[in-house]
This record gives sequence, structure tokens and C-alpha cells, in this order.
Amino acid sequence: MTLAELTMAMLVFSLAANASLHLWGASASWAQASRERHDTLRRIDADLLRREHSLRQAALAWQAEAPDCAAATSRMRQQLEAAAGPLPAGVSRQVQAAEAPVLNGFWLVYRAESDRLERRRLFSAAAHGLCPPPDPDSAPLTDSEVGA
Amino acid sequence: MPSRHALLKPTTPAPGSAAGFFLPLSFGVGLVLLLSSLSVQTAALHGTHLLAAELRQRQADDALASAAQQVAAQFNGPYRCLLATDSAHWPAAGCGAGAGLAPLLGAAVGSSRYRLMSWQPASSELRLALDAAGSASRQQGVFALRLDPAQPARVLGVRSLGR
Repeated sequence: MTLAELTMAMLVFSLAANASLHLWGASASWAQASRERHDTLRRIDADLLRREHSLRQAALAWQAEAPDCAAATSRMRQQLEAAAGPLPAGVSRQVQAAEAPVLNGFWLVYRAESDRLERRRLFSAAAHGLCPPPDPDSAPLTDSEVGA
Repeated sequence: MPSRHALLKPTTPAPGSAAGFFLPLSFGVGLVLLLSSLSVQTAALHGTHLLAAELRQRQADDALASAAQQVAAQFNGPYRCLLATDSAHWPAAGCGAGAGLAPLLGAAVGSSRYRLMSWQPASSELRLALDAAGSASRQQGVFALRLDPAQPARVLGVRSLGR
């Protein structure tokens, strides 16, 4: 065994160990980020399902009260905005009025800026039977009504 | 016959036996370390890809659920005359002048486009599909529309039945 051989062996080993440590560290941080992201997705899902369920229950009660479309739409927004379970840190929840051609509807939007994650789901008062259709004997349908 | 000096000389290991041992050992151990860490990294990358696919799937579910809300709203609006008829038998004219079937059979919801595949009033089952740009696979969703028992031409809610 010469000094040169020993030096070379130590150099090879330390380079390999250093690179390996680096890769292990990166893998561990990716795995941790994946776990957190998965947890965020799961909790957003749970919040969405809770809101959907409570909206369905509330709509049943409103349907019995011979609904007025404007009032039902306003109630629907309040129901969607009502506080439910806490969201994970860094996740925001917004209720946005749906743009044409969807009328009497809202987008429930979840965003996590750090994860570049966005989920959005539409809820329509008309789809819950809260906007009575116009009298069929009234004016004929127009293309804009059809789009709604 | 060995000389007397040669017999008295103490035995020492051959000079080449230890030499050349450390270098292959360090190469071997280094290779094992690198391969193990690479396999761990591959597993972590695979997990990241799975998570991205899961997010895409949930976004597709959101788009389909939103489309179902839009179709149900249309059934409670300008297309209420079609609610009692199987989609296979819908008239091309839809519900009359200006209410052609095209906006009901396919439209945009948010940033996605969907297509109505079928509506079966007997089972209240609505089948929708997303138009996937650049992808051969098309995401589909099945929904149950809850009809008003007192007024069958009215939808009271939408429930997802899965894909």
C-alpha cells in the first residue's frame, strides 16, 4: 500500500459519499414536499365535499320555500362563503361570481400559490332548482338565453 | 540448498498483497452509495409525478362537476322540454326556434370544454366527457340528476356517480 493509493482511495470515497449525501438530501426534501402537497390536496377535497354537502342540504330547505332566484343566489353565496373547517396554511378560498353565459352561479376557487395549485368548481342556483323557469308562454327563447 | 542466511531471514508479506486493496474497495463502496441514492431519488421523482397526475385528475373531476351544474341549469332553463326524453331521441331543433341543440351538447365551462354524451331520463343519468386537447384519452363523468317528483321537468340537484 502506497501513500498515493491511499490518497486516491480516500478521494474516490469522499467524492462518492458527498454526491450520495447530496442526492439523499434532495430526495428527502422532495418526499417531504410531496407529502405536504398530498395532504393539502386531501384537505381541500374534504373542504369542498363538506361545502357541497351543506349546500345540497340547504338547497333542499330553500326549495320548499318557493324560491326567488335572486334571493336564492344570494343565500347560495353566503352558504359557500360560510366558515367550515380550517384550510392548510398557504391555501386561500374564494367565491367568485360566474361570468356569462353561466347565470346565477359561483366558482368556488382554492389556490395554493407556493404549490402552484388551483382547483375551481362551479355551483349554480338554477342547477339546484332554485331559479324557476320562465313561463313557457312568454316570449320565445333567444340565443343568449340558450347559452345560459 | 538454501544458504544459512536465507533460512534465518524473517518472513515478510509479499509487497503486492496489501497494495491495490484500498482503491478497488473505495470504488466499490462509492458505487454502492451512488446507486442506492439514485434509486431513492428515482422513487421520489416517481412520487412527484404521481402527485401531479392526481392533481390533474381532480381538476378534471372539478371541470366535469362544473359542466354537470351547467347542464342541469340548462335543463331547468331553455332546454326543460328535453328533460323527459332520452338524448338519443332529441329533436335536432332542440326546444324550438333559437334553441338548437349545439349549446347543450357541447360548451365551455371555465377553461375546459365538455361534451354531453348521453342523458337517460329513466335512470336520471347524465354522462359527460371533457374535450382533452392533445390527448387521446377523454375523461368522462357520470352524474345523477335529482328530479322533482311533483314536477318531473325540474332538476333539484346533481350528484356525481363517478367516472
